[in-house]
Amino acid sequence: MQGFSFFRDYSRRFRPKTSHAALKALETGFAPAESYMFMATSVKPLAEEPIDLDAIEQTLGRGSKDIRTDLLLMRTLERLLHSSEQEVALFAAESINLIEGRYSTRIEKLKERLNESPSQPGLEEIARLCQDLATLYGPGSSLRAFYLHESYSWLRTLEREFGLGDASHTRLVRVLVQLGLQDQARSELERLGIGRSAEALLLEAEIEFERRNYVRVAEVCRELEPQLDSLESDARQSVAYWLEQDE
Amino acid sequence: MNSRRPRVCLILEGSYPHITGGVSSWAHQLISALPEVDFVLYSISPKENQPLHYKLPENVVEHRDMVLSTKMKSRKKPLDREMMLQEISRMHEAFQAGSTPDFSRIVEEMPADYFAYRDAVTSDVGWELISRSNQINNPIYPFSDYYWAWKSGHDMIFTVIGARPPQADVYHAVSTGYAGLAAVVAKLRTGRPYLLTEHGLYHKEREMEIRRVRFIRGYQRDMWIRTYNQLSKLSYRYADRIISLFEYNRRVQIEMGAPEDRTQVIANGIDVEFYASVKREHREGFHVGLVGRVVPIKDVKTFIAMSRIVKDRLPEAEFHVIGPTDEDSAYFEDCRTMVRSFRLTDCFHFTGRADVRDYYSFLDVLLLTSVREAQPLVILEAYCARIPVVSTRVGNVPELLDYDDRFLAASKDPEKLAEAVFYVHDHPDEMARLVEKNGEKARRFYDRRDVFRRYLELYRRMAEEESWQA
Repeated sequence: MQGFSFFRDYSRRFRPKTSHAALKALETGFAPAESYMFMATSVKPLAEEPIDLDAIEQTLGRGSKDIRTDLLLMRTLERLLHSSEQEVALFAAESINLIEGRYSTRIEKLKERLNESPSQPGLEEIARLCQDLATLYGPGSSLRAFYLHESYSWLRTLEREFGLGDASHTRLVRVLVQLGLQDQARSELERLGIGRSAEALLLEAEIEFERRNYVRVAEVCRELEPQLDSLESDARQSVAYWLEQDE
Repeated sequence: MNSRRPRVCLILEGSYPHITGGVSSWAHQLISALPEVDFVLYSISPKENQPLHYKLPENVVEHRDMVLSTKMKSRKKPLDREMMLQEISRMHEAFQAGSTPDFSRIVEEMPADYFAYRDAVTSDVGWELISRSNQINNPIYPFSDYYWAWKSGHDMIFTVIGARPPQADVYHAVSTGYAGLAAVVAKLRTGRPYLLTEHGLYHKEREMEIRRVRFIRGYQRDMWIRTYNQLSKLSYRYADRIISLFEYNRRVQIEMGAPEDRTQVIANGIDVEFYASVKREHREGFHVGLVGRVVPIKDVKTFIAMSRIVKDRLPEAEFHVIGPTDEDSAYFEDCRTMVRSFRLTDCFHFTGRADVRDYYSFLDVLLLTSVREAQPLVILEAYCARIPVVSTRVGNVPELLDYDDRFLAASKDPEKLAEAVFYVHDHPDEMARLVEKNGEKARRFYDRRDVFRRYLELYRRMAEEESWQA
């Protein structure tokens, strides 16, 4: 161990910027263990003030990873849009453009491919991308409504051309919920015919939540409780929250 | 006073006369407006044989292209190769330490028509520099990647340093970067002064571009960003006069090392009479316009989102996007789809390229939704044509709009922009007074003839002066 004196000499040595790079540098002997320990333990949430622009840039630089990361980035960047520092606000606006651009580019490429030869995976993908892009915009945003309509319209095309699989049908219900069309979402859910499966119950809970029928949300969540393990962690947390509220 | 015509070498990068755009049209107007000056164009381009997009005015007496990607053949040798390499090494150390090196030593050791492409990588000193830099910046990834990134970056710099500058009384670079570097080299080789005009901030613009490009890996991104920052700092250190378009940019230049007493703001101007001659006529409805290209940086989608909000409250509203639609066809298609989806088809118009004066005659408010601007001339045009303006808070816009928050919004905020449009709609008397005041402001401070006259004075004065020696 060289001790943390390593940091005094940072300008003349390799300075890993991520814990991944620090680990690789440790393995290959280019940085001491302290460097990795430092990077691995100094984890600061992306959205925590003061916002670390380098960390945002690094995350942006990795390209679109998943909707959760992009969502976190968008919410953080939206806060930065109002920064009194012009360069920071500009960085935020251009970064948002970059994220939107990545989705739009993928959507446009898919559109071109679908115009030439419509395919089931292509239509499923474009509907998902449009819904993801919509989700990136905050509630009440006109752009959110626009991309939700786009997603809906692609799902309808998918239904006409190839029929809706379970995943796409579920997406259709969720898009309707996000659009605020709860009655239509409910009848789609019934049409889906997945009975009282975990997915169906979760969608029902979401519809009732949007209707602000919180008593019914809690009832559905109770029914859902035995099947909790089959849900993803976010959904499990939401259900757990409602069950707690019900106690 | 010397009665000889001043000979000004205008150094441009990726713009006039090969590429159209804001800086190019400014350069063209400047040259055309000053027939008493002889201009030498020194254009730095990324590739060879680019067609001219402008008919060169008669006072362009010479035009020389420098192609960054072309390897030049050395016709001279350094007097003392070892000394030159030591200077390069010292320069790197200075950069590493965050200071701006004495560049005159490098230029002294590296004669014109000598291009250090080979020496820089095959010499012991050059190799040591690359290896050491790789150890600091990129030891965990393949060395070959780093080598080629390093080499391509340095080769462009050596092309600029080795190029023999045209003869001139004044070297006027229209950006920092490679154009600025060429001006620094010209100044150091000839002793003639260097005038720098920055329309935006070169290093910031390049940084944003690099961030957008996904294939540039982390260490390469850092390397390019550092290089562009250093090129700007070098220009700020060596330029005899440094012009920015507005105060905010001047402050950034000073923060980056520009001596305050050499900086000055000369805003861009417009043909005031041309736009003031617009005959205003009321047209049925309420007309909201955006003048600009349909490209992401103008954020036309936010304009469309704002239009939906406005339309809900003002059913008589009509929306016009006045500008070319063919620069990013995918974005334009997306915008059109959005207009359809927002059920705005009947009231939303993409005009394509058009004479803006036809629209200035009846627009009730001009909107700017851009996420990036320097000093947008459309605002001044609208002022002269007596149209109220609402805009995002970018570049010099807050200053142009007197920091009046009623007409300013953060980028990507259609709700706030719509609110500002409603304010304009609901306060016609106040707007009538405001447009008179704004028109007066544009006439007094942003007349293009005055702007170019100031450049003429600068050219004349600098042509008489000796260069400031760093």
